[in-house]
Amino acid sequence: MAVDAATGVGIRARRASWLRYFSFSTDHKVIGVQYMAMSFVFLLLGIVLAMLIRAELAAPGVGVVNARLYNGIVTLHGTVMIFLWLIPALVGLANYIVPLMIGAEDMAFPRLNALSFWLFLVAGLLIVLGFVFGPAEAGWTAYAPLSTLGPAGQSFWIIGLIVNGFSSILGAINFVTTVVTMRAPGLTFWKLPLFVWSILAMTVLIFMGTPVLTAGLFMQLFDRSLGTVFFSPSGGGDPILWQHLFWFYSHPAVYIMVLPGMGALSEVIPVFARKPIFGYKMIAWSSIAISVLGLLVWAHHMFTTGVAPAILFPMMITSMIIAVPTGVKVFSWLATMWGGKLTLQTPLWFCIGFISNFLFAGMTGVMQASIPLDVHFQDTYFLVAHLHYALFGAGVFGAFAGIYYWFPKITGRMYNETFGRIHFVLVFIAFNITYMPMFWLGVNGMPRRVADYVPEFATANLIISISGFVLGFSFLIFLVNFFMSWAWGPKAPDNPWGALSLEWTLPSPPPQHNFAGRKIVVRYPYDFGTPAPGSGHQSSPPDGAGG
Amino acid sequence: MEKLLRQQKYLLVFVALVIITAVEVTVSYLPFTDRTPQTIILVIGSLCKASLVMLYYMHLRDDSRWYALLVGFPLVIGVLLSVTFVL
Amino acid sequence: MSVTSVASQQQTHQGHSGTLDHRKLGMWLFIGSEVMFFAGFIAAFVHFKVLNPAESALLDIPLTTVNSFLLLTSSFTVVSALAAIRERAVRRMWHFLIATWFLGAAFLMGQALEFSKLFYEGVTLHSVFGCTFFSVTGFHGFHVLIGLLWLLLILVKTFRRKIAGPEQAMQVEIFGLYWHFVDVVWIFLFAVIYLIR
Repeated sequence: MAVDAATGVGIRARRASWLRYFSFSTDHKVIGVQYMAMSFVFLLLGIVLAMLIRAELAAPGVGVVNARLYNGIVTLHGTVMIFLWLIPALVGLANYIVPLMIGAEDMAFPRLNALSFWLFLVAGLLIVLGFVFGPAEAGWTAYAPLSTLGPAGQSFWIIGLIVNGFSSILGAINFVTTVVTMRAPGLTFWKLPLFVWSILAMTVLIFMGTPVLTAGLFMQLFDRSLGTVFFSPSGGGDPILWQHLFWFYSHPAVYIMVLPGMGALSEVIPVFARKPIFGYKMIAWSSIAISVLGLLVWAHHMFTTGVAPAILFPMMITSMIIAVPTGVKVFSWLATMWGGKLTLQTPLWFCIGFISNFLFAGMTGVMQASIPLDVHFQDTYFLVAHLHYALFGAGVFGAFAGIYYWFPKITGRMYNETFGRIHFVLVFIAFNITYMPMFWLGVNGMPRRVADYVPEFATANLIISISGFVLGFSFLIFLVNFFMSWAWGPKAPDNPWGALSLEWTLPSPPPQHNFAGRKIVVRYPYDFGTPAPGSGHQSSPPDGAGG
Repeated sequence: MEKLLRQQKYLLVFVALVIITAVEVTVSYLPFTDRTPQTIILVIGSLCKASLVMLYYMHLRDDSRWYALLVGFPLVIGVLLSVTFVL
Repeated sequence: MSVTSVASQQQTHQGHSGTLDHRKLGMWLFIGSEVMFFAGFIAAFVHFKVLNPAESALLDIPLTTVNSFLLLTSSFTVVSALAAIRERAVRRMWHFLIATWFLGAAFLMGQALEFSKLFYEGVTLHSVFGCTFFSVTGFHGFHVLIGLLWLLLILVKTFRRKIAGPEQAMQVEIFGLYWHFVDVVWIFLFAVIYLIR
């Protein structure tokens, strides 16, 4: 049998190994790759939709698509990017990495894990299929009554999201149980890698928020199919009720999308700075704080709805307070890099890009938290810019930092560093050129989700559209690097980055049963640099500290 | 001996639940014009019954604190949510 | 500052972190998520409640009071069943589980009766009271139904001697947690829907 020179494995065996990813498996590593692979397929769809949006907005006038189809495109773009790309990609990465980081053989409930993936797949197909039956056109926010009165595709959208909700909630239960009960002996919470902390915080938000959205989705479904009147003003119902139920989940959703990337930063930066993470406990606590506070801010999406000020004012305050734990993380990362021996490779570049973009996201977030300002920014391109800086500029950049960092571990190959840097430079520059002008557009009154605009905005929109196309194409560089490296890249050693968390003690890729039969040496995962005797310098927390 | 005590505890809790429910139903029928004291009694009654079931029947009193946190936190946030919708 | 351990293949099926069993933790997390699910519906009900005195006057309080007692009793019987299996008293557990099943089924019949009475009196899904009432109590009843089906599975297992002693008590305990949760939801629903006016 022919043997693959790089891995020494029979060629037929190697081909069969990637076919595994198309089968039903309860192995968290297979499921993780399945999640990530599917999410990238949906990302491609989301990018195509984005390019259609920018094609329409490249010039004034409604030309490329009609206005109603535009609404359908905008809706599907948001829905796909949030529910079918970013969240599943992060869940997939976490699925792969978290059990390895805690020294576990698999997740706590492996079959439930598989069920979560296949439910996500079904949900994705339903949502996309709905486009054919008269697209959902009420935005990813599905405000009533447009959503309760819209075409059949909206029902597909609702059912798809309900199914996706089940997938998420089951997954969250799995993750929390795994992290709490399956850590290797001696691995206390204060020795956990911060990526695990961030996933814990993320999954708390999932299991708290998603059920409320599910309840609201059922109500919308009943309004559409059973003649109930939850959100119908003529029947005595209240459209604002939907907004409450929707945003109770969807605000935490943005932290769900950003927390794992932050966790990835906390892993990558110490490794590429060869320095222990600054403020480990503060970062861990800030993840929990973001999680808890994140559940108490949702009405800041409803400042212009006429809801009682008794609800709005407290949430203005909590929305501003939440900048504190996020700021703690940024300062900690900067302090980690300060004085470190930086290796400027792709994972670290994406971390730097994250921090830069997140600054703009955070600052404009606090601006919008202020009710007097938000009255002007609400539903303008200021918000569109803010949300993309947060979810793309931070969320996706963080995801890429993690993907490039763990690529060798997952695939057993090294990606091409030059292509990685080209990808980063292109995406960072194109991203900022695309979204920065949108702040100006928003301040000057361009509303979101409208297929046309006044001629004064033409130049800015043209620049944005051109840059947006470049942004979309930059993704191809990543894809090419990804597939070519996985197929033909140089074989990766166990620990190419010299990192200290448990997953790097295993071969790349890890064997099927992870740590079975191996010694697990538990240590603080950021112990870079050994203190010289008597130097008074400590790079790890003292014995018995905290807990 | 100890198992008898446990079964007795369950029975006692059951009796308490029945009594509280009977009180609640009676209170709800009383013809007050201002419903606030009744509402407060009913809310407190429900919280007592729920606590009894959770502490004794669901063994939250004997088990790890983590379980109590996992249900307590959603309960608090859930109540907050309901209150927000009434404002 | 390092600890070595040899990971075993059994690790997946052992929750070993002190006193936390992974199945119990999983069930409590599930219950937590269900609390939020019902919170959504109860919040919606409460949101509209103040506007609908007329229809809520049609609620049959005596009937649902009886129903509430049925469900409370079923919580007592199911926890007694757990105590029984912990002492290896399989027959006693069997009797308590059968009692639980019939009490739960009686509750559902009582609900069906209440629903049909209200429907007959003109409360439909097309009013705000109707849709919030039927949705929240309907989902609750659905959860009772799932519980009854689950209980049937446990009864079958007991009949085939697959549940015979304290080693299998966890299965009964996990079911019990779910059943008690359904009872607790009803405790709140009964107060919010029926008693508070």
